[in-house]
Amino acid sequence: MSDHPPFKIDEEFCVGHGRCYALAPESFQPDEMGHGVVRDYRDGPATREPGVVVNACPESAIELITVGGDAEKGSQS
Amino acid sequence: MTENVADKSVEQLKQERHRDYEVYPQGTMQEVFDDLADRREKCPITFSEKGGFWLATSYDDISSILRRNNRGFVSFPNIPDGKVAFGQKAQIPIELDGPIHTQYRKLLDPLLSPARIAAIEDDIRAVANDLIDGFIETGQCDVVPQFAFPFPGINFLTLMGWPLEDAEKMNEWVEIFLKGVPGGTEEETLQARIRASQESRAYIQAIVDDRRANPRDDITTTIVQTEFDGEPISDSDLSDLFVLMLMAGLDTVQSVIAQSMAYLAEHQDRWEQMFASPDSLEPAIEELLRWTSPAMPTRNVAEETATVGDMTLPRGERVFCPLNAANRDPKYFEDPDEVKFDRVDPKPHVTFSLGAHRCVGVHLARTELKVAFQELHRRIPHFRLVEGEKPRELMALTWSVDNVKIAFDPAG
Ligand code: HEM
Ligand code: SF4
Repeated sequence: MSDHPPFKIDEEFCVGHGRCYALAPESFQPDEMGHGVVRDYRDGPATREPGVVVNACPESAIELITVGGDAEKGSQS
Repeated sequence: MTENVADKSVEQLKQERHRDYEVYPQGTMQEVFDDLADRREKCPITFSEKGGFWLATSYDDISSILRRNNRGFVSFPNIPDGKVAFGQKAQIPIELDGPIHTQYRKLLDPLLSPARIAAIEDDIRAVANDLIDGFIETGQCDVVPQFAFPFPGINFLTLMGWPLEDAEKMNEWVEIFLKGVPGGTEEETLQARIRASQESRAYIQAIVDDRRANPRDDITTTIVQTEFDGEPISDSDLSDLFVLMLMAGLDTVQSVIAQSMAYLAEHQDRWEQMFASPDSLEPAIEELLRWTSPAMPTRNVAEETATVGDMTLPRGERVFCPLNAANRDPKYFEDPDEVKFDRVDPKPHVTFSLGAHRCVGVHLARTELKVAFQELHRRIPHFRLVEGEKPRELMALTWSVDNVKIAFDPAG
């Protein structure tokens, strides 16, 4: 579990393209709207580079929470 | 085109950046792509006096504008010349914005969620095979009328729980809405559209009445029974919504399949590559979605001002955002006009739009495409264009091709 990237989804920007749970189902799952949700329990090791997952979100809604609490984010413009 | 943009009036900017764009272009798609590329390079947002709209061409500008729907932009009217196509009313939900739009999305998104679509995948596969059965023994297929056009229409009926026998009737109406009367006068097209509109509304009204009287376990019943703030959706709004859902899923899926098959007929190595391993198909479909990109939304400045590229535009200005221009921006896609299945972790395409109006049918569309290509490949491992037949490019508010006639070894 600890080897999983600390993803966070910005709900204001996620509109449910579903790329996150298609690409990294061990880290994300869809809610009933089809919006991405970070899984709180993981049933396998991470299979993708975290940066790849962050970049795959068309809305740049996925962040990686770093230790200091800062978030690294896709280029939301 | 950079200094002191802020000091210039909109009228000045419109003059300086004037470069007309033809929404219904003549010529070839490649010529239009070359024109878009030239604009992107020289002045990425130009003003077309013809039609009175701004044209964005870069990935960053287009994605930024679409993401700001409800945050400075609205989608009504969602047409570059601003003329409202079918009467004055906003189309539901694509031209609704703000809270009412959110209510519709909260209704529709769960009904078209990945889980709901997975539940009808077998039905979609059966539809694909029925259609293939219809031509497989002849060794030829006219892809659009025999597969790409009926396929999403029948799937829509399956999704909604409407009788499959009605597919033909429905396809006829949609053809008239989208294409008018080929070779006919404007008046003939107008009359045909009015007739198709009356007939389709009457048809849908009968379905709505039936679900009110005999509720079933289907999506249509759920929508018919929905209340927003204690009020049911009116009959006329239900009819608008159902027509739009049908139309939105038809032309687009059809276009992606038709353009892809036309391309693959001449690139059979790519047809193989798509199925090289179990993991090959998904990224290949994403690349085909990027490359075929049929839809072209428009957004309107809805606040006092909004930033568009390096400009500040006032309320009411329209910005046309052809998604295929964003998807061919060389900043993110090397050799953008090429189909490349081996792009490494590519930038996501914007074929389904971004922001609040992101295609509600995205999971259905991806499943339809996956199933269509799987079944076509299983049953037609090799094909070519029929000798002497060339696909015809169609460029309007949806880009597509027809006359995609393929030949193959007849089999079972
Ligand atoms: C490859 C196939 C498809 C493509 C490329 C596509 C593309 C799009 C795009 C670009 C938009 C947003 C337009 C805008 O931002 O103004 C959209 C919206 C929409 N699409 Fe799709 N679509 C596809 C398939 C479908 C299917 C199968 C359905 C069936 C239900 C569907 C239903 C809708 C609806 C209802 C909207 C309006 C959403 C809203 O305004 O909130 N689409 N589609
Ligand atoms: S890919 Fe992005 S927008 Fe899509 S569901 Fe995941 S977080 Fe949301």
